[in-house]
This record gives sequence, C-alpha cells and structure tokens, in this order.
Amino acid sequence: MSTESAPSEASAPEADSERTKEISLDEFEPYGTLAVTGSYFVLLLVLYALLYFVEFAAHAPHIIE
Amino acid sequence: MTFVNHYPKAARIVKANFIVAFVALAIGGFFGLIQALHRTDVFRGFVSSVEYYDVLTGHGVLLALVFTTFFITGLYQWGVTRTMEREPENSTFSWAWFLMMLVGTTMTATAILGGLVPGSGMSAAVLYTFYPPLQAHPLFYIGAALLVVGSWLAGADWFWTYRKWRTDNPDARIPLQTYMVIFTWLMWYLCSLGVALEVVVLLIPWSLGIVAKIDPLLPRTLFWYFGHAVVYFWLLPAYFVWYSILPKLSGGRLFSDPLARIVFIFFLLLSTPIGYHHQYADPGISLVYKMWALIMTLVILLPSLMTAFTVISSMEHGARQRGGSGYFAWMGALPWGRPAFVGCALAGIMFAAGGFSGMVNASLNIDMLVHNTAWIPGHFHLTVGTATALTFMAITYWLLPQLTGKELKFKGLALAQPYTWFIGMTLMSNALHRQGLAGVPRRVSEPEYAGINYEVPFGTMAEMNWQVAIGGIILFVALIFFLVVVGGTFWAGTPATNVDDTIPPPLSGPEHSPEILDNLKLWMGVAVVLVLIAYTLPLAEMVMDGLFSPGAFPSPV
Amino acid sequence: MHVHRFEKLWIGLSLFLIAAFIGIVLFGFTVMDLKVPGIEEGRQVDPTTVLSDEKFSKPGVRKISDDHYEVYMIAQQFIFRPGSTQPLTIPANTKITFHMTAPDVMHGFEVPGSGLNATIIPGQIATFSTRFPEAKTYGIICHQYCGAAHHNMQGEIEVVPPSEFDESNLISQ
Repeated sequence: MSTESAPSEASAPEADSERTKEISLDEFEPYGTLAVTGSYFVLLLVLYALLYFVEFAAHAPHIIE
Repeated sequence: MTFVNHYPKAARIVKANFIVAFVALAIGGFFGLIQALHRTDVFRGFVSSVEYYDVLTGHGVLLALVFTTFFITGLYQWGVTRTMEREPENSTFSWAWFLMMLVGTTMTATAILGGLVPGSGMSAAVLYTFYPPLQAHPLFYIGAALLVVGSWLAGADWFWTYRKWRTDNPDARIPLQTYMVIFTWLMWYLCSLGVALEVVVLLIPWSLGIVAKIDPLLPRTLFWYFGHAVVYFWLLPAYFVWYSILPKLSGGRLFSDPLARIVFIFFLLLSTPIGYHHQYADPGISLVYKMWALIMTLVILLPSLMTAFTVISSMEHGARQRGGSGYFAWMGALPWGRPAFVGCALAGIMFAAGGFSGMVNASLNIDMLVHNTAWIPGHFHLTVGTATALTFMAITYWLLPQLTGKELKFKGLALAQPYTWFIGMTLMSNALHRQGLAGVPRRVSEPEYAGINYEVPFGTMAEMNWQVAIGGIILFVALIFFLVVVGGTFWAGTPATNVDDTIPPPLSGPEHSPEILDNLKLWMGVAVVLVLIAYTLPLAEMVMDGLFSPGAFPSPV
Repeated sequence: MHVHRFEKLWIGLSLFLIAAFIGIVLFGFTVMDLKVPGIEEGRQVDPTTVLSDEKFSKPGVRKISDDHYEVYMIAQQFIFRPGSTQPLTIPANTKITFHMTAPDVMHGFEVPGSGLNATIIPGQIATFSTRFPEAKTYGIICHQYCGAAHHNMQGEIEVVPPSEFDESNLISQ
C-alpha cells in the first residue's frame, strides 16, 4: 500500500489526535482478539451442535437413502 | 489536496459508478420494503401477489447485481488509482466500460419493470437466478450479458494500469489494495465465464426463439458455477475495506499484510469449484460432487476465519493506541461516534452471525432442513445485505470528501444510519432464520398455506412476521438517511479543508512475506485446475446428450 | 513471515472447527441416515413426453413389498399429482421411495420442518426414500418459484397407521 506521502497537506485526521500512544509490532499482544475469537469459536460449536442434533436430526421424516 | 485533485479523471469515473450504484440501491431498497410488507400480509396494496415476483426480480437484480457491481468497480478504480499512483491509461476506454455496463443495466431493468406496466409487452419475472424454462424477455438476458462483459473490460483497464506500473517498478511488491483488486478480478473472470456461457450460448438464442427447447439442468449448473463465487465477488471488496481502511478508521494499523494476501489467494482458488452446494437437493448431480462441495465449502471458512482474526486484531491495535485495555473492554475505546467506522464494525458483527448460518447451509444434509426456506434470505441479508452493503455505505462516508473535495453533509444522520440499519436487520434477519426452521419457503408472495400449520421452534408466526415488516421499514428508513447524506454532500456540500485520506502502513508489511504470494500466473493456474477437476465430468455428461436436451418448452413469465 | 502465536493458535482452532463440522455431517450421513436426494441412474426423461411415460402417466402409490411402497409424483404448474387435488395417502413406519419429475418448469418439494427437500427439474427424476414416523397429516410446499401462481402450489400427505392403509387405491404395475 502506498504509505502516505505528504503529511503536510494530508492534515491531521481526527483519529490521530485521539491516539494516546504508539504500539509497535513487537509490543502488540492481541489478547482482546484472542478473547473475542475464542468466544466466537465456542459459540459456533455449541450453536452448530444444537441446530444439527436438536433442530434437524430429531425432526423426522428424513431422507434415509 | 486529496484524491479528486491528484486524479480528477479517475475521480469522475468513480463518482459516475457510485451514482448508478446508489440509484439502483434506492429502487431496489424500495422494492425490498414492498416485499417485507407483502410477504407478511401487513400491507398488500402496492402490488398484486403475481406482480410480487416482478418486484422480487427487481430487488435481486438491482441490489445483488447492479448496486454491487457498480459500487465495486467504483471502489476498485479508486484503490487502483491511488496505489498505482496514476490516472487511467485512456479515459475513453474507462468511460466505454462504464457505458457498456450502464446500457446493459438499463436493458435488464427495462425488461423487469415492463412486467409492472400493463400492455408493455415485456416482462422478466424470472427472479435473480433466472432458471429456465421460465423465460424472460430477450432484453433481460442481453442486458445482463453486457453488464458482465463491461465489468470484464473494467478489469482489463486496471490490468493495463498495473502493467504500466510494473514496467516502472520491476521489483516492487504489488501494493495491497491493487493486489486485492487483481485477485478479486481473476476470480471474477474465472467464475463469470460460467454465467456468460449460460446466457450467451444457451439463453439468448432460446429467448429469441432460435432454439425451441432448453435442458433446465445445464443452465442451472452453469448458474451455480458462477452463483457461489459471485458472493465472494460481493464480499472481497468488503474485505478490501476491512483490511486496508478499517484499521486506520479504528486508530490503528493493519496487523498483517502477508496474511491478507494469503486470504485472497484462498478465495481465488476455492470460490468457484464449490457451486454444487447450491444443488444439494438436486437430482442429476452425483453424490461424489456434493461431497466434494461439502468439504471444499467448509475449507473456505478458513480464509474468512483468518480475516476475522486479522481485522479484529487491527481494530484492537487501534483501540489500545487510543487507550483501551482489558480482554473485552478495549472495544469501548473504539471510535463509536464516527459513521465510517461504525458501519464497517457493525457490518463485521453481522457477518459473524451470517457466517454461522452459512456454515449450516454448507453442511450437506442439514441443508435439507433449510434449503429454499426463509432461512436463506435471512442468511444472505446478513452477508451481502449487511456485511457488503453496510460496509459500502459506511465507506462512502469516508470516500465522498476525497472524491468531491466537499465536507460530508448531515454527519449526525450519517452516524445514525449504520445503527439504524443494524437494528432493522437484527429484527428482520432473526425472524427470517426462525421462519425458515419452521419451513416457511422463500421467494413466495403468500407464504401462508391453507393446509399447512408451521411448527415454530420458538416464538410465534405473527411475532416473526411483525419483526420482518418492522425490520423492513427500519431498513428503509436507514436507506433514506444514507441517500440524504450522499445527495446532500454531492449537491450542497461545502468545500472541505482537511480531508482525511491517509492510510498508515501495516504493522507487518509485504517485506515479511515470500514473493511467491505475488505470482499471479501460478495462482490463476491452480485455480483453473481446481475448476477443471470439479466441473469437467458433470458438465461433459450434461452436454454429451445434446446441448439443449432433455429439453423443455419455455414458460414465459 | 511474521505470524503472531495467537494467530497460529486461531488458525489451529479454525482447522479443528472445519474438521468437526465435516465430521458431524459425515457421522449424520452414515450413522444416523440423514441423506440427500441422489441420482436415479440412467433415468433421464423427456419432459415433453413424460406425461405418457410408463410410470409417470399413472402417478400414485405402488407396492413393492409389505414394508416398501413407491410413489410416482408429477409436479406441474401449479399442483402436485398426487397431493394437491387429493392427499397422498401412505402408511406410517414404512419405507416410501419417491420418484418425482416435472413436465414444464422447475418445482420444489418440501415437507415443512422436516428433512424432506428436493428440487424437481424437468428432464431429471428426483429420487429419495424415507419413513414417516407418525400417523398424521403433513404438508407439501413447492419451494422453487414456478410462475405466477407459485404461492398456490401445495399439497398434503396423509400418513395412516399401517393397519388402516387401504390398498385398493394402489396403482397396479
């Protein structure tokens, strides 16, 4: 991606002014992302199993062959 | 100084594409409102239950094909121009593909809307999937073909720019935005070939009466060769925004450029050879290929799950730079007062839910429970109807000042719009999903049947109908908000002084990835091989007994 | 290439999820007999002449054995034959094999809230077998848009206890 070139005319976007610190690649530990995606993982497994075995498999008739 | 000043020619092309996209969005969105009220029997005064199918065709074609395609060509023109840092090579050529797409769209829309005008002698109530032997007016098919071929030329335009750039930069890595454009379009060429063959070789001659009969299975299979990959054609431009712009809107930087590239390679390889999963309930498709589709479709979860991690972590990076902390509390530090950010973030949340219902659809036998029920529109209104559409609307708020040099008008309305959309879609989509579990079919003007008592798993049928109707109304209100903001900015915006158009470099850049990721010929080659494995035998079987046989006579609608 | 250890963990979890879903589906398919419509080998039909086909010219229920009946059904704009003008009557807890086709356009076959679901395509025969566990009335809906009166295309399956099943209405071979 073209790294932005001309800060002089590109102005100071609002997002920058609210930034309180710079976090570099080596410092950044995405614990929050792990928590969010981990929760999503559990939710997917539980919902999928519920839908498959309770909503679908328990409601006959089915195609058996 | 911003995009419109640096690249005035490209800016005009982008704006023209966006205007067509938003006109289609306005009409298609209004049709959606009519359907939500009609289906649920809240109000059936707009159209008859027969005309409902004309409106439904208009809704599907104008939103899923026209709004998306024009917005995507506009967005990608912007991305290519800004990262290649050059104007289109030949403006006449750029306007030619735009006009070709526009003429095609007008023809198709005329055929569809003709069905609502008594005595027009035209109609095309074949729905967005246009399965023969249902037959539309020839204009419908010819227009659709022009739209697709026009989009091919748009891609050629960007490859032209890329080749020029490559001559000047023989050793540079492809900038990420152009990389995503290229991979989306390689996939688009590969998959839209199927629908182009279907329309040009089979449907146009048949609709003109040159051949009398048609074999319904062959065009249906060609449609789904295209019809699943097309959902990634809608989704990848949203990923383009989430990877390349959303981290910045969150106050952070993209966590990993190499993983973004790998994700796009996955989509090029796997999007097309899985179309059979729309044909799990079909006769005429062998179980071997249904199993293949099951496995490949679930494997394609991987690039989307990887995207979830990279995009969320990039947002977390922004949140932590803005002072956020904790496992979940950091989300509160995100800029929930900025429309472009809010729209993309809410679109992402809805995509997580739509991802789940998509996993169910993909799963071969459980699909028998939901196939062609209201569950399916419940699903894709979360994906294309929100992940894609809401992202497009949100990023428009960020792009318009760059394209027009004007301040965004009605910022309060712009901020309310994504929240409103989110509420409306939550109501409508959860109810559609649950109706689908009860067996309520999709694509029907009167889903109440005299002899049928739907057994509703939770809630009541009346409650779900009200959620669909009220959700539809709220979505329409959100659409009006969007149109007012865009129209206001175009016609009454005041000149912008400080346009926010910068994108910081990724935390981990392309220099951390092997160069093989940028080898276009290699990946396109693998993609073609996978398609040949998936489709050669079944298509050969369908063609060998005669292109148009076993044939059925047309049934004009 | 820089891939954070959390991201490696997530990719691992994602692969596990994919494997788990494939595993559940295959378990259901093989062990629990949750299947999908298949191909009737070598049985394409000409939609323009199917109404005079040996079997489809007399749609209805045929007996194969005491525990196995088969149903030939025509779906056409905008009725199921049998099913729409009179209910399709079949015995409970008995294997029923459906063969369905259409002479005009595509139709759908859906028993709401169940796992019975098929696309009916002119030129092809949709085939599957099932057992109805309960003696009660089930609905049939055409879930594939088939034209102006699509929303009127519905039918009924009347499932009766095997002892009460009247064999006098069977179609003789």
